[in-house]
Amino acid sequence: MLEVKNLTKIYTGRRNAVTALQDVSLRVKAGEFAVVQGPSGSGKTTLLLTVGGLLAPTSGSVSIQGQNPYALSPERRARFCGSAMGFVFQQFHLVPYLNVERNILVPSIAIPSNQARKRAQALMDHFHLSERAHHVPSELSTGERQRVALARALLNTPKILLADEPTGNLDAENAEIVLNYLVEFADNGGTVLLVTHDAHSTRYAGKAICLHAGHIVSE
Amino acid sequence: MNIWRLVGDEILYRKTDFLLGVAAVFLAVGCLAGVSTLLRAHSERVAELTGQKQKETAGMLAVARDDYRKMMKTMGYNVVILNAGEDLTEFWTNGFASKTMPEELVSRLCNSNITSIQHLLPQLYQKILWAEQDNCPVILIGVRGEVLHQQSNHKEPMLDPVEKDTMRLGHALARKLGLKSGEKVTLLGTPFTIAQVHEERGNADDGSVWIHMAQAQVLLKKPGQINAILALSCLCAEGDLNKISRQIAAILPETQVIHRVPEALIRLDARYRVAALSQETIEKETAYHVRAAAERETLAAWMIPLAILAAMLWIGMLAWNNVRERRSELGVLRALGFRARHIAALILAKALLAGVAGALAGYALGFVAGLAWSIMDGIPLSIAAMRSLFDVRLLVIVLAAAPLQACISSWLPAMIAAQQDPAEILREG
Repeated sequence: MLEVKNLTKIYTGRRNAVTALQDVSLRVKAGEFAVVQGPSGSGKTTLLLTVGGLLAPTSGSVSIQGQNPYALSPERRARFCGSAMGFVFQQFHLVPYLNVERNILVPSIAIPSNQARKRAQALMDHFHLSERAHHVPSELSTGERQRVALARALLNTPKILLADEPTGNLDAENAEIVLNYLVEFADNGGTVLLVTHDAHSTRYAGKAICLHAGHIVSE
Repeated sequence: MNIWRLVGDEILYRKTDFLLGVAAVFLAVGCLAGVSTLLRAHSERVAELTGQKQKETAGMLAVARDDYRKMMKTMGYNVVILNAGEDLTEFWTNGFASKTMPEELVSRLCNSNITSIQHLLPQLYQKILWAEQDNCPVILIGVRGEVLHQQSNHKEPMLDPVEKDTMRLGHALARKLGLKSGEKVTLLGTPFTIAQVHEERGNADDGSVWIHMAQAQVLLKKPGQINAILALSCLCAEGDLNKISRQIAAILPETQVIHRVPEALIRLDARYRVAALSQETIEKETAYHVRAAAERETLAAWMIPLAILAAMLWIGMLAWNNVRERRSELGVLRALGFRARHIAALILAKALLAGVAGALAGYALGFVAGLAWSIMDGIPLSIAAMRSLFDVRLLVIVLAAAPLQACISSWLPAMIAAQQDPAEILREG
């Protein structure tokens, strides 16, 4: 479960300050698929990064399975977030020189596990990537790349999945495949927080939150 | 999956970057190994040449010393002690002394504390007509063999004594009279056996007859008398005959001392001068090589650090470029749970591998280049010599130092990469 309370994030520049999030509170329970929707610049990515333990809020609190990641040291926070949450990005952000199998295994460098290889194989099977195990990202289709990214996010068996426009670069067919996987993850007890400007994604979510200029305007 | 595999894959992906880093280390280490091998080759060659020359000089000195002994044996003694009243003009004209002195003087000299004289040969000699041989004129010499000084440490006597009732003949005399070794002859009514006919010496000895001192004193009717003591100084005192003369005069005031400096000594002196010149040449050559080596070392002393500094800067720049190029990748890795130290390790591990690869390749090629350079410098190198030039200690040092320096060079970019804000990178897309 993830919960944010009165979250405010202000980017302070040399001359002016920009408020990206203003007093945002939300709660996504285990097994819930939540979509945060809003136009560009509404604070969606800032919210996702703050929840993901990568961007400290100016004020307010973040709770991931009862733990405030920002109360931890940077080292412990990275480890905690790496094991509790998985990230999926619009640009996939796969490591260009690693093949599919090794891309999926990358998180195991930070959080080593004896089961990593077995888990990676299971994920490749699940996402129909086994035949592509030794291909590098440039040899994959966009849909395959996003499935690799999804498998990589799931390697450490996180309870929460954070997805930033995961279907933004995909065609309708592949977008649906990805969204179905997210639904499946939530159905299996995981928590999904997806940020998108695509209204179509809300049809898969159990909860939709509309963000505008850093404020939640509807939930 | 581990960091090394990630680094290895990244190296294979960005081969050029990595090879440029390796090349920088390679050049610095190659420079060091090449110059070091060359200097070692020169140094060993200098040592070899010096040893060779020293051996030659030592051999030359040994030959000179040997020559000295041989020549002193055959050409005479360097000091002759005569009666104080001897007319030297007559002595030089006749070739022998006419006045006698007591044989006891020899014992006095032997028991003195003069250590520079090692060998004493008392003699009684006189020109006679050998009646039994058609009055052939001969120089009869009575000898009692060598009398060693009480403090003498010479083991080899320079002259053997003549046994009683035997005689030795000079080469020319024996030939003139048709006498051979082993024949029996009579001299002034006394029978003798010819014990030896000397080799030709080219001086008065060739017309002389040597018999035992006591018999000579009887035959010449001069009992207990001698007319000369031949004294040989030891080798170390060869250049100080005047001192010896003064010492003898102090012990035997009733005598006079004359020097017979044979040409052997002159030749010997020449040999010593040659040896000294040779030594001087070696010293000059050694000094030249030492100076040349010092100059090369001075050159290497600034050139090598410069090469290392350039390599470090180059690796640092490559690392910085790598960090910039991988900004997005490193940000994502942070989002996937990588800590700052993981990110720094990725950069430093690559530098470490570049350092090891560059050090190995650099040492190998530098060593070969150093050998080639040495050969071009005229240093003959056998396989064994090449093996001896292989400096394991230097290899170990570069294998430790080069990766360390590569890591130091990449330290700042690695720290910058580790401190990058992943959120900022991810927000940039």
